[in-house]
Amino acid sequence: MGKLGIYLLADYPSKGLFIEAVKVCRDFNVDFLEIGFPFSDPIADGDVLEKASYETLKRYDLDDFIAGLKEAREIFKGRIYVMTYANIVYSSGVGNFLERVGDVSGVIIADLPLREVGLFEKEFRRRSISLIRFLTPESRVEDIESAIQGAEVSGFIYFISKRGTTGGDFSLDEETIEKITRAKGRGVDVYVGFGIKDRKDVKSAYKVADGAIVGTKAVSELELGIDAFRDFIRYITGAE
Amino acid sequence: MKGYFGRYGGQFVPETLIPALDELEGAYREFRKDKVYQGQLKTLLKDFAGRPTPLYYAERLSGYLSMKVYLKREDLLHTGAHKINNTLGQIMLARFMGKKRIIAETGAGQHGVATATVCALLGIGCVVYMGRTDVERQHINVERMKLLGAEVVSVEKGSATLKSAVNEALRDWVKSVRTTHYLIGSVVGPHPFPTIVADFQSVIGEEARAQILKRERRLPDHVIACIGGGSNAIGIFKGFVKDRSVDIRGVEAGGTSLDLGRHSATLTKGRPGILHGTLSYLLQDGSGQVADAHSVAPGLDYPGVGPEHSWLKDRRRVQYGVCYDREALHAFSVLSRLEGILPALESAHALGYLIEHKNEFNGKTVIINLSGRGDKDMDIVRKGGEYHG
Repeated sequence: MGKLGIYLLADYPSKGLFIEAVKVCRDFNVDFLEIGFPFSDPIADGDVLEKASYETLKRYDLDDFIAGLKEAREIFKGRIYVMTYANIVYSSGVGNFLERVGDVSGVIIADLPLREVGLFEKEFRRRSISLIRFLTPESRVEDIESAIQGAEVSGFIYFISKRGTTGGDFSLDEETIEKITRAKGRGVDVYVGFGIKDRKDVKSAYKVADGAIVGTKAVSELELGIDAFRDFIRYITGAE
Repeated sequence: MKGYFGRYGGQFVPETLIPALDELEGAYREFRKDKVYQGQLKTLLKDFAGRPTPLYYAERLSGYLSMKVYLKREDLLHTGAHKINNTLGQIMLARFMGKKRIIAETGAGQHGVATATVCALLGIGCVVYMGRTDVERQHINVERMKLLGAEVVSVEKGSATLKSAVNEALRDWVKSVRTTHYLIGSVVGPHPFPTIVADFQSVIGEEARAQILKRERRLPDHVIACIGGGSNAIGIFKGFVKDRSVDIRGVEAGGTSLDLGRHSATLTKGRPGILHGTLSYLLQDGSGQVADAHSVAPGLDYPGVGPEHSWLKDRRRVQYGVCYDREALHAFSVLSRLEGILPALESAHALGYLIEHKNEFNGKTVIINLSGRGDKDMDIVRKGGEYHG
């Protein structure tokens, strides 16, 4: 069985609903959480998460997101990863940022490609926090090798399923499946994300990879309310 | 370090774009060596764009300011600004790479028009992203782009200015990376863009240096240019940066004041940060959210700046200062009346700085890069004139 990760945007749609959603993920034994810290210029995000980011930034700031993360940490005992953009980590000072976020398994930085990790990595290693590597349908053999070399024991490789932003449709072409297969089974888990929204997508991700990450769809459901979100998590975890 | 100017630069983009940036860098290296393409580009710069541009001795302005002022007349180029130097270079590069589609961002619309123009010239499809705010205040340029056959996409999201247009162009590129070239308009973005754009703009400085030596038989004391992303400035600075005797000044938009959100003075008031693929000075709040920029000149309205400028600042090779909106508007009318030249509001910032600091330049020889012409700014000037008196 593959691992399932759910993405939530910190403090969205509200602080209360965000925490309720974390509790739902705990109740249905979601394997890990990704908690997004909004950024003013989220170039890797599609319309849903972009709009959610702007709305959240109108009301809250980094201090609020960190407080939300700490509260989530108390509730959810599995792995938690922070997902954000390079300037949010860089601006605070990498070490300082990691001190502030505290007990997390890793950080996913959407605009940090393999070749630029050098500027960030030292502070991550010192604290044994994973700096997650990406692979994509465009990755070459040398990129795949580099991602495997760099991955920390506790970390995973985030395989972006498609050329594009978060959300939209999910599909894996032959060439992409080949690339995922090459990266898999080399001592580090490979999770697939971007566009995964139903059981069918999750199953096809599990067929080729070690896990799946559901982001945009989970956030869209939470926008409808906690009941809709609970129904969705029950469905996507296959608990019914 | 690959793709860095000192500590600045880099490739802070989603992993998906990395192979495309490598392809671009490799192709550019080949393109520079390709005699046929280089010959075609040279011919287009001459016959289509109108190079070389004159270095004009502005006699009445010189008398008024008690110094010798030369204007590098990039405003006389086809489409009305220096932007065409870069778009001609990159469109030939895109053809060399076999790309079938062009995307671009634009603020004032000058780069959008220059891109739509070269796409029409070569018959290549073109999509230009432009913030809604800019679509409204630069509507004539929107009409020009459409006439030239480009699709203009109005970006409603975020600040709806140049920053949002770049975000949207990057999102498009992540999707379309195999077929599309992103024709970026300034010395910003991930490596190799800052280097490629600077190379294409360096013709400004090469010409200006030869022209002033012929005319004055000596180098100028000062070279001054305005800076948004910084491409016209890098273009003219490249000609003089190795001449230690030449003092070089970059002028940023001071907007209405130096409070965050009211100006675009990135190098003056920002601190290092990461936006649109590059590590450079950046206008941002305490926790790393990028601030909105402001300037009366739409082409300067950007919270980031090219990484090479950040490096030139830290090395103290170039001094960076500011010109406020009202000073630029004043300079616009001074040049119009004394020389019969309507400068672009962007270029008027370099002039405004000169006028404001005229005592410092007394008796000296100064080259101003007049990067564009001001016809596009008539609406803004008319409204600005009201509070300016």
